[in-house]
Amino acid sequence: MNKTVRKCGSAEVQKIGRTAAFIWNKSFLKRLLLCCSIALLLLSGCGGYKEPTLSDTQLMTAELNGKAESAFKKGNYWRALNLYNEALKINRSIENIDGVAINIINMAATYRKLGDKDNAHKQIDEILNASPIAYNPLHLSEAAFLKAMLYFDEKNYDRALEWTDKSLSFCQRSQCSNMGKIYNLKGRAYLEKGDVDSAISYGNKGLESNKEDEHKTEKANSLRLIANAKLMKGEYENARKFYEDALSIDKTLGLSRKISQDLMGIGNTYLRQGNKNSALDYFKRALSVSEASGDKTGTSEIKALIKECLDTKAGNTL
Amino acid sequence: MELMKETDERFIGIEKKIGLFVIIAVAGIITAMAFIGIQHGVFTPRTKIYFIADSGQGINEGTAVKLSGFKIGKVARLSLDDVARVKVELSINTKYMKWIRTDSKARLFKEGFIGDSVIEITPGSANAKQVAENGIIEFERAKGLDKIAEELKEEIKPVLSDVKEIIHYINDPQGDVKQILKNLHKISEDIPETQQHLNALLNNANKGVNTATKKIDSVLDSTKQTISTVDDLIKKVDNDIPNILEKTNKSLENIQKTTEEIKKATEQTAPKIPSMLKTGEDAAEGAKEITDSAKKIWPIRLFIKEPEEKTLNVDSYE
Repeated sequence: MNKTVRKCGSAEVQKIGRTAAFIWNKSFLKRLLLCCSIALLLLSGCGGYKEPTLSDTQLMTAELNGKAESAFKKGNYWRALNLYNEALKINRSIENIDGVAINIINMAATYRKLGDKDNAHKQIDEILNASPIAYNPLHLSEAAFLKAMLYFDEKNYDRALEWTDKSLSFCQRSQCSNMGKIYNLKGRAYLEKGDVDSAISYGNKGLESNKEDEHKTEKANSLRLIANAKLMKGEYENARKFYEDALSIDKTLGLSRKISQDLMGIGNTYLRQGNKNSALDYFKRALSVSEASGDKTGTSEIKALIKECLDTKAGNTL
Repeated sequence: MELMKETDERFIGIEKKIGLFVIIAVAGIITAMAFIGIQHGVFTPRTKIYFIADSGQGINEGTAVKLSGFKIGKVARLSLDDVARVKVELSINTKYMKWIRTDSKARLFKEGFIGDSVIEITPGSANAKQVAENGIIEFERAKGLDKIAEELKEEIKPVLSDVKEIIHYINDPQGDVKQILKNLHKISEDIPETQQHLNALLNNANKGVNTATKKIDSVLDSTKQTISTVDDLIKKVDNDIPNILEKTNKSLENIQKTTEEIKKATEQTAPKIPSMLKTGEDAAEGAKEITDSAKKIWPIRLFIKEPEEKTLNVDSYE
């Protein structure tokens, strides 16, 4: 009896096996099964849990830094300041020199945005003044650049130039990629001082250094700087060409304030050439951009310029 | 091309082997399914009991049923009876039925602010009978925070109304309080005049006893009149004070009652707040943990950049 059952069972097993072998012999199914197995193997190799590379404290400071940057970009400067301060405290508690430098620079940049220049200088000086801590030249370069920006805001162009030189020196030591923006700031300082040729020279240097895609903003800044200098020099056609190039980049980057500046620049070239109608067209475009972006200062400046333009136009007609 | 030949020694009995392999795999799948079924209580004996609610708000199929905080079943089905009330079918794990007695009550409440709705069954008294299959138990809906707030509002309303009435009563220019104050003011104004009369009387005392007597009489008359006015006023105040006191007492009683209600409500709610917060915190932590873990899994991790601290990109044209 048992033997019969075993025999019967064995026959059933053989039947299942024959069916499986039949499926296996079908080349399409075979290939499909093989592909699936290989794909599964690859997936299992790539998948799985990845060990964290940052400690919990580092992750926390990185998160605080990220949140602060996000708040800064939204214009919520007080929140950004508090978050940077938190990150700074934690970095100090673990003596993370790079983290300390980064957060001090960011706090200074935030104070600058808040219009608190004294505190901005105070923060930056902690890095730039002689200290037993050896800060990374890259961060020293960024701190010196910010210091130059602060002096530029104060219209102290000589001190701004002095600090751009220091920033350049630190940048060269660290082989940083910020040379372009430092040249731009230097060019702007020369332009404000009335040295148009130096401004064009540094604008060109900036343009050369900002070739890479990651420096598109600064490339547009270089072009605008050269255009401004050429406008001062009276090379209107040339200036317009540079403004248009800058405008094209700024549009791809979606920078409203810069787009408005470029449009104003083009309008100014027409105005200087006596073509008030074209100038007005560009000013109106700049006004529309400025109003839509909520830039109140820019809007009032453009409105004043349009009014002036319209008044002179009416005067000429009369 | 044939890869395998049936005459090849390696493939002798291959059909049997494949058959066995398939059977083991199928058996494994069935075991796993059975195991999952056991874990999910598919094979657990269950008893159906019911309760009737006026509304099905907050009750859903699958809502957990708890006894002393321990999950003993779930809501199996909701249906409307002939008089549009909601008949709720509970599927209870039979081994817990011994605690559900005929005097047990089902209560619907929420586990914290963001928690799920839960049906809590109160254990019945020892001398009551156990609820039989398809038996019906009583249902009551726990007071929600909105209900408590509504009740408080209703309690406070009459108090505010009383307070308003009292203020109106006091402020009414024709009202008793204002009139009393007015009369008192008049009396106080009359006092210097009376004093002047007395002085004049004393000065003229030497002029003749008769004259003086006459004047004294006049002064006495005036004083008598004043005293009579004061007396009237006092009587009026005496009459009014009990009314005012009565109203004040009523308001105080209402305030006391409301305070007690508030205290009661606070006592009921306060112990839940820490657990509510804890639940919320736990949920947030859990979600963060899940997100963090998901971020580390391939291929998600390929799209997520590891956070790092970085300086703000300060534009040379800002």
